Amino acid sequence: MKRLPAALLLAATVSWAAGPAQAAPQVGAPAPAFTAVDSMGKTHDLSAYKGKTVVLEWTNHECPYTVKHYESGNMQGLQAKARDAGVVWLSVISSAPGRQGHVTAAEANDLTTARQAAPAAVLLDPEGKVGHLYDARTTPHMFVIDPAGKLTYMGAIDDRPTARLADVPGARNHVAMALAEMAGGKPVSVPVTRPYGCSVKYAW
Amino acid sequence: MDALRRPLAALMFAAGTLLAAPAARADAPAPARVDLVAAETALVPGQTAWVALRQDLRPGWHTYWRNPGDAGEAALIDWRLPAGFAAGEVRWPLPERFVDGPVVSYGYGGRVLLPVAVTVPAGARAGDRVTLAATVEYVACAEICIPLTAEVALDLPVAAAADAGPAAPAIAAARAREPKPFPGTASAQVTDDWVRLRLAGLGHLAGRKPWFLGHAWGQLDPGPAAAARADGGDLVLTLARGDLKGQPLARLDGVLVWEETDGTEGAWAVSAPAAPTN
Repeated sequence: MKRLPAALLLAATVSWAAGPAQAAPQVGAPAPAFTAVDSMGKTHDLSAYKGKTVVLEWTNHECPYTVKHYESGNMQGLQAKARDAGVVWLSVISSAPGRQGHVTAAEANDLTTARQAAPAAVLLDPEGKVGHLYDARTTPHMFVIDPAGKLTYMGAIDDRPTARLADVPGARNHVAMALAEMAGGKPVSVPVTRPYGCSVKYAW
Repeated sequence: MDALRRPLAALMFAAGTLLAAPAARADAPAPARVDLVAAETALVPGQTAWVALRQDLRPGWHTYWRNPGDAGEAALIDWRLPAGFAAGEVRWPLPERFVDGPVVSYGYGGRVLLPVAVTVPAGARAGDRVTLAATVEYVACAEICIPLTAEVALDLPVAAAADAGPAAPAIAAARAREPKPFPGTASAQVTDDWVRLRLAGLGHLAGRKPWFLGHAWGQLDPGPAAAARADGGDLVLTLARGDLKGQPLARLDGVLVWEETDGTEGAWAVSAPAAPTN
């Protein structure tokens, strides 16, 4: 559900086609700006990554759909490949305290080590601020941002909406394809897909 | 919605303690039981037999509608039928809306039957026994989500005539819960961010919490309408477009649901031609 700005009802009557003041993320438009603190205590400002491609990965280590992509090594493989290509990969945890997938900074670091994950950083978003800005709804839910700061992909990690490890090989990995197309100077051929997975466990 | 969410949350935490640890998942009690039931006691050659996938969910858990909304997956039924038999699409009953913060999904709690029409070939021989079998992939969610696979089967005789079976009333009730096509005129105007859906003659529903549920993911945001008003006797809903708003929208298919004065829900299935506007 999109956050509907207070001005919306008025806008809907007076100038119906004007659209919302605070739009949901849209491919082709600037990615929502944010700052967030990672599991090492470092603050990340999206605008600092102008000039680089950025991947946002919403994650919840207890969600079976996320588990699928970590137990298979799929997610770590993508992260390592992104790192080697100079892409900034930010994993985001928006689970609220007391809900599935919520972790402390130390637990987040332990998970990175234990799973041999290779994100540039794990952003801790227990209040869901970054999650709401991106309207992140599932784990995983993936976003790709180009060096100019524009959103180029949002949606699922691949085209097999299951929790089966056997479905990883043979799937079309939308993120890998988007990154490859962008690296080749091509437009992203599949820019929006339905994200699949568990719901993000936001604060109530 | 808060009223819906809070008690659910309490149950979810109870379930979460049982099921949160991935290692414990296999030993935990299943959140759902599914089986296949038939409306009649036999399959009649050349006729349609109604069967249903019956889901019984533990309190607090839910499964999903054809469009799950922001999260979840609709059940997928992979049929294994004898030669000549054919299963139709699931006839989805009107779903509930589940609101978890900004995440809105559509689905079913408790007991739900998903009816399917099975065509029995004219050449089926009376006296034979037939097995209708399927693999069902679905996901049940409460505080947490568990993807599940079930093998279901139904063994039935072929006969010249059939009687109503024990599941007949429940299947009839589930079929009756599938929204009927709206007999009036529906049209939609589309901008980059919004759809304005006009439903002729339904203006009296503007104050009855109308909610439009799109059949296809991505056309609309699954949340409630941004605005609902009566205009010359028509109902006009302002609906936020979904993730696929960058793509043209030629037709909007979905279900209009509203609250009746007696607390029940009314619904129409709507198919509206859509045209861009400024």
